[in-house]
Amino acid sequence: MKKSFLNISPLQLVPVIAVLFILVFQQESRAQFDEYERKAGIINTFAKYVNWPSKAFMEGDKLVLGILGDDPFGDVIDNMFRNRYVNGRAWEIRRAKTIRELKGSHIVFMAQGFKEEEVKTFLQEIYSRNNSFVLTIGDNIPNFCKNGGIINLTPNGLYTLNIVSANKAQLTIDVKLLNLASDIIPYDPN
Amino acid sequence: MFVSLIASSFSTILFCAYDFQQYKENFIKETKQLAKLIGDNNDASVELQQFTPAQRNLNELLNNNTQIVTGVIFDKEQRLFAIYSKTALLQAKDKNIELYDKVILDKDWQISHAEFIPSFSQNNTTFALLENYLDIYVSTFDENGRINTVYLRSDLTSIRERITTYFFMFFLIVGSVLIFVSTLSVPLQRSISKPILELERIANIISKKKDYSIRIKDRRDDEIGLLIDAFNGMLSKIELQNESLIHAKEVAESSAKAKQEFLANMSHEIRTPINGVMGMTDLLQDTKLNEEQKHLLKVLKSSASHLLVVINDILDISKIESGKLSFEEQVIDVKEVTSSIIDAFSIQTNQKGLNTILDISKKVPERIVGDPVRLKQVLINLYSNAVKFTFDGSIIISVRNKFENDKKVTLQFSVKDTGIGIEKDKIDHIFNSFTQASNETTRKFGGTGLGLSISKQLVELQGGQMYIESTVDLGSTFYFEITFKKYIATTKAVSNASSLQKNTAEVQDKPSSKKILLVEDNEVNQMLVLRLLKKWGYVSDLAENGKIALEKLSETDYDLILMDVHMPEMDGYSATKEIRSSFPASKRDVPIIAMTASALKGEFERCKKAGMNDYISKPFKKDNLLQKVQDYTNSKEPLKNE
Repeated sequence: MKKSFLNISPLQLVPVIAVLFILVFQQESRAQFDEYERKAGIINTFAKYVNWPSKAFMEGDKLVLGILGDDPFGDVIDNMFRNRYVNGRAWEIRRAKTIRELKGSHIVFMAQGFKEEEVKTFLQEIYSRNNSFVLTIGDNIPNFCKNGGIINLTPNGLYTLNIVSANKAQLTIDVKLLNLASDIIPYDPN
Repeated sequence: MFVSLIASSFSTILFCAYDFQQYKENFIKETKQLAKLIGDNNDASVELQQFTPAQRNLNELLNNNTQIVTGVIFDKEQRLFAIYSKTALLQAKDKNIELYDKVILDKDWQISHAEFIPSFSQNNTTFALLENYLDIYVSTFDENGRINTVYLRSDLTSIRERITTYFFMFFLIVGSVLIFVSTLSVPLQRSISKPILELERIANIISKKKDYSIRIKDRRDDEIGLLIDAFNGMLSKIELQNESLIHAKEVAESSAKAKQEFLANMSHEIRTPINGVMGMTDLLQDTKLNEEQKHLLKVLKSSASHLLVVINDILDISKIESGKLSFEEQVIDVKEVTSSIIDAFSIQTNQKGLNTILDISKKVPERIVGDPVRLKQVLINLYSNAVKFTFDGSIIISVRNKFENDKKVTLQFSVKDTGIGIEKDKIDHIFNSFTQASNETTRKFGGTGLGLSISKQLVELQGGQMYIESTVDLGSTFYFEITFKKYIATTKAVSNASSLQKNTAEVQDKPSSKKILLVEDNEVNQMLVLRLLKKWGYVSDLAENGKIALEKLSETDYDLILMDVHMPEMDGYSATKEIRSSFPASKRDVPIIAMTASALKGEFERCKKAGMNDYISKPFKKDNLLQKVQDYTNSKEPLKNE
C-alpha cells in the first residue's frame, strides 16, 4: 500500500501541489484583504479562551466588547458577532473614545492612533479599580503589554501576552492562548 | 478427538472474532480520541490562524505514535491548515537532522513530500483492513459551529500483528487441546476399551468352548460394569436355557428311543401272528376250495404279505436307526441273486408287459462274499420301484466291476427304468424316511416310503453309496456301489451256506426217511411248521419246551431239531447245550437249527455258541425253511407239491 503511494509519479503530484498553493495564496490574499475581519475572529477566540470570574457578569449575560478610539472594524465586526456566542454569551459591541464610556465592558479593544502616554493612562484607568475584570487587547500598540495591557496583537496574526496583568485582572487565560502567544511578558508596570 | 478439535477451534475462533471486534473498536476509539485531542488542542491556533503551533502540536502528539502515518488539521473553511506526514518527515530525517527540525514546522515542504494529501470530509471513518489503513475525520465544534476537522490515517500494523497472534493462539489452543485430549484419552481409552476388549475375549472363549458357565468377574460401578452384569445375566440365561434344552433333548431322545423300541417290539410281535396268517393261508391254499374261496384267499394272502412288507420295513428302519443291524458274510452268487429277483417279479412284469434285461459285466466275479439278504433287499426295493413306476418299456439291471484288488471288489449295481421319473427338486427328498416324490405317489402307487431310505442306509452301512439319475417322463436310474470281499475257494468250506445247494445236493435221501423234532411253544408256529414238514414229507415230532425235547431225544433218534430259542421251562440255548454235552455220541451231533424271532445283532453268534448249527429267523419264508431242512437232513425231493 505504502509503496503504491510512494510510487505516485511526480507528474501526478504536480496538480495536487498546484491546487494547494492556490489555496494557500487565496488564504493570504484574503488575510490581507480582511485584516480586521481576521482580527475580529481573533478577538472572538481570545474571548473563548479567557475565563472571567463569575462576578464579572453580574449585570447581564452579554459579553461586552468595547472598542476604544477610531473603530477599525466598521460593521464587519457587528455582522460577524451577530448571532455569535462565546461560552453561551452573546456579543455586545460598544464604541467610545473614553474609558468612562466603555464602563461595563469585558473586553476593551484599543485601536491604533493613541500615543504611548495615552495608552498608559487608559490602562491605568482601567485597572485602577479593583475587580475591573477587563481583558485589554491592543491593536499592535507599542509597549502595550509593558504598560499593563494584557494582549497586544502583532503583525502576522501573532500576539504578545502579559500574564501578570491578566492575573491582576483576575482573568484565567487558557494555556492554548499562552502557547500561541509569540511573547509572554511577566511585566508589572507598577 | 474430532469433537474436541471442532469445539476448541470454534471457541477459539469465536473468542478471536470477539476480541478482534473489541480491539478494533478500541483502536478506532483511541484514534478518534487522539484526533479529538488534536482538535481540542488546536482550536485556538486554527481560529488564530497560527499554523506553526498547530504543526508543532501535531508533531508532538503524533511523533511518538508509530501507527499514525498522516495527520491533517482542516480549518473552518475546510482548508488544509496543518499537516503531519510521516513519510515526508522520514525522508527529511534520511537527509539530515537539521532539515528534519525545520521540516516539522514546514507545512508546505511536508505537503510537497507527503505520499498523499487527504481531502476534507466530516466525521468519516474508513476501516480498510486489507489496504492496511484507518482513516478518521473528527471535527471540533463550539457553539458557533465547526472550528476544525482533524484527519488521521493510522496503519493497522498492530491489528495485523494481533491477527497473527490470533492465528498463533488458534494453533496453540487447538494444538494443546489436541495434545491434552489425546493424553487424556489414552488412559481413558484404557479404562474403557480394556474391559470391553476383555468382554470380547471372553465372549469369544465362550463361543469357542461352548462353556456358558464362564462369568466375567470384573466388578465395576460404571456403564461397563452394567454391560458386564448384563452380559453375565445373558450368559446365565443361556446356560439355563441350554440346560433345559439339553433336558428337553434327552427327554425327546429317550422318548424317541422308547418309541423306536416300541416300534421294533410291536413290529416284531406283529410279525409272529402275521407269519401264522401267511402260513395258514398257504396251507389253506392246498386244500380243496371253490373259485370264490380261492379268490378271497388270494386277497387275504396279498394283504398279509403287504402287511409283512410294511412291518419288515419298519423293523429295518428301527434296527438301522438304533444301530442294531449287522451284516453277515456269506458267499453270494451274483447272477443267481439278480435273476432270482427278476423271477420273483415275473408275474407282475408279465402283466404289465415289461421287459427286464439283466446285464452282468464279464468282469464281475461270479461269486463274492457279503450279505446276500441285504443285497437282495436293496435290489428288490429298487427293482420293485422300477416295476411299480414303469408302465411301458423295459427295466435294465446291470452289474459293473468298478474296482478290484486282491481282497476286495467293488460292484456297481444299477436299476434303470423307463418310468415316470423324478423331478429334480424331489430327488434330494426321496431317500428320506416316509417320503415319496409326492403325496399323490402314495395314493397312486402305495408303499410306505421307507424302501429307498432303507436301501440307501443299508448300502451306506456296508460302506457303499447310492445315487440316482432321473429325468421326468424318461425314467430313472438308481445306482449303488458296495465293496465286497473276494470269494476265495477256501471260504466254501467255512460256509456251507444255503445258497450253494448244488454242492450239497449230490447224495440225497428221501424226506420220508428223516425224522425232525420241532421244539416250539407257540401253537400257531407248531401248527405251521408241522404242517409244512408233513407237506414236504418229513416225519416230525413236537416238543413244547426244551425239557420235553431232551426227554424225547433220549427216547428217539432225530435227524434234525428245529429249536425255538425262547421257551418256558427251558429255552433253546440251554437245551442245545445239554444235548451237546450230556447225550451219547450218536445223539450228541444231531443238527440243530435255531428258530428265533429276534434277528438282531449277535443272535446268530449266540446260537452258534450254544452249539447250534444254523438259525432261521421268524417269520420265515417256507422256501427258506425247506432249503435249510433239506441241507441239514441231506434230503431233497423235487418240488412237486409247490
